[in-house]
Amino acid sequence: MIKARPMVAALVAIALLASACGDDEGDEPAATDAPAAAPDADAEDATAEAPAEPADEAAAAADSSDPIRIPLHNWSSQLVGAEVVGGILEEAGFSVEYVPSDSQVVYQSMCDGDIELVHEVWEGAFGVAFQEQVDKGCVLDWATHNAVTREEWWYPIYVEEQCPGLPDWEALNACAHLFATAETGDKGRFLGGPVDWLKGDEERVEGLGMNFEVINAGSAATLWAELDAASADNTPIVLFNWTPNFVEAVYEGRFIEFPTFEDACRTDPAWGINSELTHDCGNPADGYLKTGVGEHFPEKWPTAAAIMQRMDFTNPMLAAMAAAVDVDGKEASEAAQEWLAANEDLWRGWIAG
Amino acid sequence: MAAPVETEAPASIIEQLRRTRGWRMALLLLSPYLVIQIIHQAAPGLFPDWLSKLGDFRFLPDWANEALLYLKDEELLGLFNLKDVTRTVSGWLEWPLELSEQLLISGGDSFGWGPVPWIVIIGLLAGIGALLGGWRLAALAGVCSLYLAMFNTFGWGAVPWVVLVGLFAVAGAKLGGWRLALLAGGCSLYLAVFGVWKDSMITLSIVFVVAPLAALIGWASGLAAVKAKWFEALLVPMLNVMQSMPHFSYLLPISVFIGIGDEAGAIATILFAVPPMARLTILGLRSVSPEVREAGLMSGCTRWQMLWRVEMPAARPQLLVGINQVLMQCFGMTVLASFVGTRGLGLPLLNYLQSLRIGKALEVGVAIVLMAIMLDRLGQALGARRPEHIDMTKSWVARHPFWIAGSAVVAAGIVVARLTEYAALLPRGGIVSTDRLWELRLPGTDIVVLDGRKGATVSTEPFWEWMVDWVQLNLKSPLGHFRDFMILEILFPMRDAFQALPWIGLLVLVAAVGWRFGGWRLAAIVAAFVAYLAFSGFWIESMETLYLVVAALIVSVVIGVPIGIFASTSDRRYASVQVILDTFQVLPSFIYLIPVVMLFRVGPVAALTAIVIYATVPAVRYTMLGLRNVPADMIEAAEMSGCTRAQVLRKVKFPMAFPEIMLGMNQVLLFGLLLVIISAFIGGIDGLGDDILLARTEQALVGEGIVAGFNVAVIGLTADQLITNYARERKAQLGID
Repeated sequence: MIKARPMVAALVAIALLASACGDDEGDEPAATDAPAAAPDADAEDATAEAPAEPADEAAAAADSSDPIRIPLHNWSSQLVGAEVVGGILEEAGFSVEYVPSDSQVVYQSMCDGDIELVHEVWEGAFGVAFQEQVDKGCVLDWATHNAVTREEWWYPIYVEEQCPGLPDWEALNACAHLFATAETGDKGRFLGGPVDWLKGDEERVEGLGMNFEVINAGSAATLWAELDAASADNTPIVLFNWTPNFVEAVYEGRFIEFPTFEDACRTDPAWGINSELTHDCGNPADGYLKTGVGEHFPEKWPTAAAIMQRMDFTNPMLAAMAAAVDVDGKEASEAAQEWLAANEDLWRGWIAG
Repeated sequence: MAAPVETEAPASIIEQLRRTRGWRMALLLLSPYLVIQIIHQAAPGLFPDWLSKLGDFRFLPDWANEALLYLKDEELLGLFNLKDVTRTVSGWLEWPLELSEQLLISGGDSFGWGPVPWIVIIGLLAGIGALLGGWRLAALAGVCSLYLAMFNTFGWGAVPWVVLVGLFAVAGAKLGGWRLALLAGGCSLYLAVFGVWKDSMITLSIVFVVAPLAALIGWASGLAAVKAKWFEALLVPMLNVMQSMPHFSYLLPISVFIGIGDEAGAIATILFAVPPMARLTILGLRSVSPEVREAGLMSGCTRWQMLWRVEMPAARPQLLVGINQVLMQCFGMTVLASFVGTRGLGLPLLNYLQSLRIGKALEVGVAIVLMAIMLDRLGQALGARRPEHIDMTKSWVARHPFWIAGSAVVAAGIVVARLTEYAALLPRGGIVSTDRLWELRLPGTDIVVLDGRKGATVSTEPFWEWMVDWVQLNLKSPLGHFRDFMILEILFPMRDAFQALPWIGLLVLVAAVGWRFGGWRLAAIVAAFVAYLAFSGFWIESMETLYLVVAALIVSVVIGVPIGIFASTSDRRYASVQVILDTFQVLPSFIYLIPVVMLFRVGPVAALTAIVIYATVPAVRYTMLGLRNVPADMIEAAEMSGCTRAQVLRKVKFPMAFPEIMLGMNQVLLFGLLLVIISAFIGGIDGLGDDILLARTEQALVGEGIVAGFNVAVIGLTADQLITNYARERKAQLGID
């Protein structure tokens, strides 16, 4: 097809070499002082963008001009919230960058300095992964939101007709047969959250002597898929759910009331109705929702760190953010813009301090 | 250890035994296993427990963990830290990724990056173009980047969608006539009008960087393997492991060593796209016939000329298949890459699934498929082009209609895009289903198949919503019975049988089969594989995974082989089935995880269905390939001797195609293994997938995730070794290659 191939290839080789050398010169100093490699390259972009930023630059004077990297996870309140956080920080004169990331792996990434902050750390789902990094010292437990989170066994409302006495857990246990399926035999089937959420449902079934078998769904999406399918013809179902969550807006339902949680329940077998086993109680009805930041965040962006500490989400705020996407079908960025417009006084207060 | 019964017999008898056929052979291979099972069942006292189940070993995961931590934090040989090196290397990807993204979607304000001025970038791109496709591609790359430089200088932003759609259509027309023009134009138009343009372009911009790199690395390593034996010995086992390790067990180490972001996804994609290219390069160069090489030698080729003028052109068909596979892998990784922070179509797809908007998720998935098919068909057409006669008496304009059409599209597109933003990027925000502007109903029904939304985009979402409701109302209960039957009568008994299998029993069985097809060497290799599984600490989980994959294999074969036979009978069917296969290979498997759960609830039947959907693809593909490759003279001979069509199929075609079909089974198993891990997102199975997913929560579990992933690879490799050796032997007997 081409006659001059060897020559062209040689030219390319030279060009490649030349550019590779150019690269090295540019990258090597950055590479030697380890974590600076990536941010360094970003810095140029940030400075280039800076003139386009509106104002408030003075506020961020002492702060680094590198973009603050905010993770995007796969549930709607977080997606809206991330852009709300980003919008507020941008308004305060910072540049931000959104990075999609796995909600478990993100704590490792924050430890490695690839992500600056996580604004929705759920006690139940991510407490373990978060605490591991906090204990190492590379992630800081930065702020606790007003919002409380609850994660518990839950049923759609039509199940109450089939199983009187709900939401009491003993009533649930009495009609375990309603929830039985081929693979659980005569035991009831409880659809738990993914194994990596570490909920201790099996221990609870044992601790409370319940006639249930725990089947773990592989992801939140499969939980909703089952709920959707069951609701189509009122099939009895009891599954793992949490609040705040869009599900409450779409399907009416209630949490099962288990014996009230106390720390001792998890550690002391003597506690509670079963004197030999732990976990004979429900989950905490008021789990935390925290903001975590990387260890260098407060030094590098002191002003932003202060804003993040003042930032405080409540349950209704999170539920509204989730509903805007899941019920109204808006895009996350659209919903975030609307939220920012509607709550300007609130977040201006967070910026001003 | 492999086959203890025969060890005392003299070699000649063993060789004779190896040549027995039929049921005698089967009995011979089964006998050591049966002996073990009989002792195990009849006299458990004689059978120590450790031969059946080993204790809960944790030394492998612990080692893996420590090795990872060491590589991450310590300096190797006191010289450098691996993490710094990998991060520096992946950092180099940053600017090509950014360049390509600015060109396609985000626009940019500065074209020169860091120390590299834009003129060098243009030269470099043109050079790569020249290497890959001659001066035309070089010119194209040069013009594109010059265009970008100009665009940025005037602050015009990225390429407007009308320009890109037009250019794809023109390229299609040039390379493959009006049909290809329609295909390429139509596919890219879909991206615009369905409101996925922006995310599609981010994905495409990553593929533009990753695919050439992966193809180049794959090609170079394949070439090196052909030229140097030792390199091949090193490369091939590596490729085997790389291809059978599940995607997810890569992702955690990647997030440690590369970080998260577009580069991490790009590296993960390269890791997956290189092996098929390398393999096909080896295959292609090996299959260059000696006559062709001799002809080259006789005309006085230098080594360089030999490579470029003789071997590469002769290996072109395989290289093209390689490039096809690279593209398929690149688009296939889109969703998984979003788990390590890569932007593009992956994240919206997962988010739509999360809120059960299956219709929207499907539209995003289809966007991925269409881009893959479009680029693949364009690439194939480019590769299949033959030199054409150019009539020099015509004017320059008449000789270059497509270049002119292309330039016209660019010029007109830019002008239109300056006049209306609708031509630059169809405004999105059109995903709100309550914002419908118009509806298109199925004639005579209430079913909406298409609606127009704010921002001039359209969606088929209402149709899929209707479909999901309909299926749930009408199919859920009959399928419920099917599900119960499958679980109680087939899957659970099968699972129990696999779980009860003593590891030593499986070891001797596999070793005996290995001995039959590859002698003592193969027997030792596969026996070592099984022993590894037993000692890895994940024996039970491995068996749980294996049983599900084997069940899926059986179902896939039962469904796939007849389809393959049917499709191989005419060219038209072959072509259309090919499109369906490509679609299912690239369509992100996450999309069908949710519908199968709606139908079969969380559990093994849902997982099995998802695996079968994906794993039937190679079953059909290889059956078709095998049947179509049966030499025509053989079929003719059979027809001449009066065979009916059924007889030709049964007595000639099928036996001849059987080795190829067996290679297909191998692929079914590998596909199944990859999906069995992804189906951990469904839940309800306690296989290796759970351990890999669990590894994301805690650093202390990363080692377990890697070892579990390696177990998956080892299961795949065992089957691969046995099947390829079998197929090789059988093909030699049949005298086909």
